[in-house]
Amino acid sequence: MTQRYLILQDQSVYPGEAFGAPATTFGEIVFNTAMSGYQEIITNPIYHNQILMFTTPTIGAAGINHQADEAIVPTIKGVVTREIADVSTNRLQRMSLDAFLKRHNIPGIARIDTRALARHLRQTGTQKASIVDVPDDHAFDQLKAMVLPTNQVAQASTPKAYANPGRGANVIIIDLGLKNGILRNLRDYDANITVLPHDTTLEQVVNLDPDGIVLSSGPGDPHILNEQLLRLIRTVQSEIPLLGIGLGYELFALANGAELEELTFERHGMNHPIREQITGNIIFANQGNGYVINRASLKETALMVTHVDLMDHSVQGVRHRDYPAFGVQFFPDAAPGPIEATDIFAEYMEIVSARRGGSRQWLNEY
Amino acid sequence: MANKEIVDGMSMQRALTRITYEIIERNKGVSNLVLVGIKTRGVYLAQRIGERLQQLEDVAIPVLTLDIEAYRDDREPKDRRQPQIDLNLNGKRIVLVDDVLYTGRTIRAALDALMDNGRPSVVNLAVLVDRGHRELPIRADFVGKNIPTAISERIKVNVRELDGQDSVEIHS
Amino acid sequence: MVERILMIGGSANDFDHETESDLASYQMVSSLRQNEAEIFMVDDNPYAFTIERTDITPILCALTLDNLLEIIEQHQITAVVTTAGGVVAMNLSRQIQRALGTAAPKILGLSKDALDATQDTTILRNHLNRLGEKTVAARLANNVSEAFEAVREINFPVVVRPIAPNGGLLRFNVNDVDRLEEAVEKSLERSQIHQVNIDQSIRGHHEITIVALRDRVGNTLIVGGIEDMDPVGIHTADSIAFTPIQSLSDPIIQKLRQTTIKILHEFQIMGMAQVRFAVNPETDEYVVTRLTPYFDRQSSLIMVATGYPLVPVVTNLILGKTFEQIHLPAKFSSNAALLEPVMDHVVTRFPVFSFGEFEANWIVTDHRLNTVQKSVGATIGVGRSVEEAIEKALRAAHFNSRDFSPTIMNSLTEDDLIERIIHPRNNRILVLMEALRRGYTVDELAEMTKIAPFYFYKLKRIMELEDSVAKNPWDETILRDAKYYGLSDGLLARLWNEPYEKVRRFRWDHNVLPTYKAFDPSAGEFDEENSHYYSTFESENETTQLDAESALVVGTGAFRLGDGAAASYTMASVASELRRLGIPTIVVNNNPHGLLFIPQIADKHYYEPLELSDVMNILEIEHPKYIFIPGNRIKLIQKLREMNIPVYVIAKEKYLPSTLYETQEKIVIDYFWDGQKAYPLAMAKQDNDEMVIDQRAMTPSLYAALPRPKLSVTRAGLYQLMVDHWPIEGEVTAEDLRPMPFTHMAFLVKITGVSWVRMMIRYMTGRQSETDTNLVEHWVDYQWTTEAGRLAYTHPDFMTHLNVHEHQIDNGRLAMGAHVEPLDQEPDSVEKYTS
Repeated sequence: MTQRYLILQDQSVYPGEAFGAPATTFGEIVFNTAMSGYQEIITNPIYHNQILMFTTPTIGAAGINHQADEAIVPTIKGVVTREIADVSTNRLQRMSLDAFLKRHNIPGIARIDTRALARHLRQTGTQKASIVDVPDDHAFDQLKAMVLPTNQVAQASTPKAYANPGRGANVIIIDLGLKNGILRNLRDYDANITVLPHDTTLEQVVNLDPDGIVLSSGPGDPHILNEQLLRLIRTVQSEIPLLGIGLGYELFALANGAELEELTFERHGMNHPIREQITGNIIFANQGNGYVINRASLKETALMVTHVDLMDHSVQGVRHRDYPAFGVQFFPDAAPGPIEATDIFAEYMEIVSARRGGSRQWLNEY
Repeated sequence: MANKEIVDGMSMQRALTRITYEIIERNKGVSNLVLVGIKTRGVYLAQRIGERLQQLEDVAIPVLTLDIEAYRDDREPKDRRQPQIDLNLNGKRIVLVDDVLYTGRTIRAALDALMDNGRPSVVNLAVLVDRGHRELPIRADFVGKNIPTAISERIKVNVRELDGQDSVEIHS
Repeated sequence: MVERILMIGGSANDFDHETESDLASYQMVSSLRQNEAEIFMVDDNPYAFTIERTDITPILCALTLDNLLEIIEQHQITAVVTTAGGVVAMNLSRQIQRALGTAAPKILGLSKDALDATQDTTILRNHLNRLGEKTVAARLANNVSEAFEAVREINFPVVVRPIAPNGGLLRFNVNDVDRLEEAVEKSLERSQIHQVNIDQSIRGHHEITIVALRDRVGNTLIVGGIEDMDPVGIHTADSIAFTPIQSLSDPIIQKLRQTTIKILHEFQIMGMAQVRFAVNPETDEYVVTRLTPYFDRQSSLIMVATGYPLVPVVTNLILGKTFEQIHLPAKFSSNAALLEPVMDHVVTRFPVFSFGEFEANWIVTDHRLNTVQKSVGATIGVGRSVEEAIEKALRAAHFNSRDFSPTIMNSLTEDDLIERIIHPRNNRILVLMEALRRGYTVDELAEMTKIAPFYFYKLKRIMELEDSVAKNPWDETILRDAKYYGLSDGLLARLWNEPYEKVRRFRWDHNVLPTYKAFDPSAGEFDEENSHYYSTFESENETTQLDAESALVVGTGAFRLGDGAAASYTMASVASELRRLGIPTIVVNNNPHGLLFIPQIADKHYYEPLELSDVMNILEIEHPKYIFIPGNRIKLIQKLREMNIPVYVIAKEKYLPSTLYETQEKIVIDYFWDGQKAYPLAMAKQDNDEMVIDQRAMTPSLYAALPRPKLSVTRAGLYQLMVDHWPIEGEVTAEDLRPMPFTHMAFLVKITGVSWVRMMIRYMTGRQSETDTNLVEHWVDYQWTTEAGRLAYTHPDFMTHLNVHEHQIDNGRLAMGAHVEPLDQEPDSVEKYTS
């Protein structure tokens, strides 16, 4: 095993063993506390350009199977773990996690005291990190000089529209870093899906005559996105049932005047209780976010809180008072994680189906 | 004679949730809102919607019970002046709640009973199931499930409070 | 209204019943008390710990329906707790419900259906069918032709067994037509009602247990999952188990989660239930095999492994609170009840068997594992990797067992090896490692054993590591690797053929030091106050010395035959008393069912093996003022003394004289030794079946006549004199005294109503009060809480479990459990003791 080092912006150094690709890598480091689903997590585009650390001590035990992919290729910058299982044993397995990461040129580092690192990151917050061969001044200089990319969504989104046909309602997904779980869930309702790139114009949306619009989850800072998308949201939400997930939800909130605040350290896991306000039911879901809605800022908006995280009392879902437009901070599509939140798709598709074939009067105005 | 569950507890919960949100959307909020449940199961459904509104908006919405027995058109008219509701409905936004919408005659009776108690500004109708076969020009504003039925079939809505579970069954 | 709650205890220890229910009930009482309930507890287990709590009303009597009905009436019981009393309490609650109907007190947390389904598989099956969940297909047959009809429906392989069999259990695994007829005929013959059951065989499937909670309004939470390494075909208690689930991928884990939730809703569980699944590794299809809505070994493991406040939460749930209404003690983060625990460590549970003890008594047992439980205890290993957990569990479980000697493995012939791979025994881990050493491939072994290949890769790494350690003495890199994967200094010393001290010194010189990590249900996300730790060898250590004046209590480890439960009771009393005296108390143990894991009885808990190396590591951090060790840890005591570390031994006589072949009963005189004088406490008679003590036998003249030998030790203790006759012939000296056995201590405390164990601790630490000295000096004048009582050893089904005839069992040494009951009879005289 080759010795390599994980270095952090705050000068900490964690020696470990290399796996995956031998490349030097830079990115923001975040940790995920899920105990299963490493492949789904690694391939989730919300981690675009990030270095991902797992608190569960061993990953890779089930190898790689392509049904568990959440995107065509993984676009994370690195994997940090205590141990990578050297051989995969799952019957669906095509290749090992190690081989998968090598193929996609993603470096990994094992034999890290990941518990110590998680406790450290919890205190110091999300920061820049690098996996290097030698933790010398040069490496730290480079890390310091590294500028986090601001076009995360542009990189993660599809460059061109594509169809994912079905026989049901006509649903548009605006791809901000789309995760396959969303497609899988909409397919369960036989939706006729069109995936549009992040910079889609209102006209393009209108021309497709949608019954519903889904704003996908995605990576990065929601504030960086241009006003065009927010305008689009404001225009369509009054007429077409809208569902925002993750980043899509954050944009839905911004479009309606809410403010977001950045978390000290990003929250990734699937063990927080989330209360659905309207019923009082508690659900667990896959969560991953670096921003939350500032609750006070909702006062002046037409949004109401629909979901709350009971551990930190953060807002996890909002809905427009006047329109069938809503969103959730967490991932109702699971993959990985508890599937109890998938009911949100059922709720959404029920609305979409009920309104389908209704008046299209408004379309003519554009 | 077969009983078939066509809506399970989960879907019924979801339908009530959706109706609640639609009520908020339609009324632009919950001010002046009054829920009126038609006896028997409509009352429980109205209470459920009321609870949902309270949990969501943190305001208690009045939930009233309406017994339309005296207003039925297949009975001899009885004394209709017995006060059903001790709340002045003038200017209120009423949502009438029932379990099943069928011929529309129950709703007509309910409207009569309501009007005897004041002059609401709006009356909307929410039903869990619309099974078709209307005999009057009445339609629901909020529908949980549209379930096409034959006239020979019977729809039974079960509520947890009364029947031990939430479900909709079709008896044929 | 204040609830008047009756808690039904677990009764005598047996196979499948260690101290896990006591472990739960103790904590449950604490939570119930916070909810202002009045608590009555009934039990007849002499080794029960909870029933000695001073904040409850204890009722010591036989656990019969009549007794319980009387208690319910007399004490106006409004509610019954059955979930902390194992199968016995579940059965009794069901009987109470049947007997009293609607007048029965409510059973907290359990619907009638849930209660029934735990004991009647057809009820469980009906509910599961309603939910559309698969169960093991089963058919009844009255003759061979019906059996064939059944098999056409179910398909081979099947399991055939007689309904209501004469004699022991009988099961046939049938894979093809050729053997079906014979199996059915034999089973029909053995069936009292001439009927057989034919089950779809799920042999070789993987067993998974999910532990879940549900509140009154229907919110649910998954506490954890357990994966058995051994496939269906080996009893769960005898399986090596892991948590969290290691070898399944997320989608199947989520399916099991959803099914568990559905089942909890179906049975309207308020509190905890565990659902067991058999998963076909080829297809990811699964069947539900069991619903367990009470505390047992699986919930103990999850409680210990996750650090989740399981018992306090369950107690609140059964009282009807919702998750959001639960307020836990301040040391937990707010809403800790609602956080699904995640682990950043691995815990494995190893079964511990009693074959060695039998063989030491010249009793031959069958070591092969099957569907009938053979283990009598368990131990856990905690680590940051599967390898480390296995290593720690191995040394905790088998620190001195002959079956685990590597030389035995070397000498296995190829045929023996294959036989042992296919018919696994208690030492299969070493057999499998030996097979890997001899070149068997992972796939071959996985096919032969139905164990997931994942585990073979882990065993392979351990095997390779041990080999490279053996080949490279004093190699620093290999030392680091060895420690990283959990090998102990003791094992290194053995492999290098060097003294332990030298290895330890070498490790220090190279700065390879243990780091302790907290059992943290949030895996580092929240900064939780924590007092439970395990060791590993990484960069960050999370604990420091608790207090310079602390006491360390070493546990008794896994149960073996004999006094496991009594020893657990005794050491728990020791720790609890130390803490009560205000001495900062630390405990270390590895038995997931042991009472030392009760959070309230210590300030700090270590879950570690009890090998010298592991205990030394703790001593280096804690430097406790006192170390209390049970007398059965002979090697540890000896080694510590060699290193001039003073220890307080809670004496245990290892070689109790056998009572089995004595026709005559013995007379036993119990003493309290305060350091200077011996005070007689009670006189007992005992034989191979029972012990009896009776205050009325102790007349003033007899009391005056009892010998009072003088011991040379200055430390307080409990002792016994065992004689054949009264009056005693010849002079009695200190040599004739023996330390009081743990079983007798527990019995004496139950009947006299004075905790002599706690008294001993107060004297040992010089904290006895004036009341104490008065009581000791004038004990003969005090009235016992129960005038007389009997401890009767139970008769576990040794034949079925171990193929051992019961008449061979020396109860003084090998009994698994006992009942205690007050004796209500005419005053005894000493003549009666000696006649």
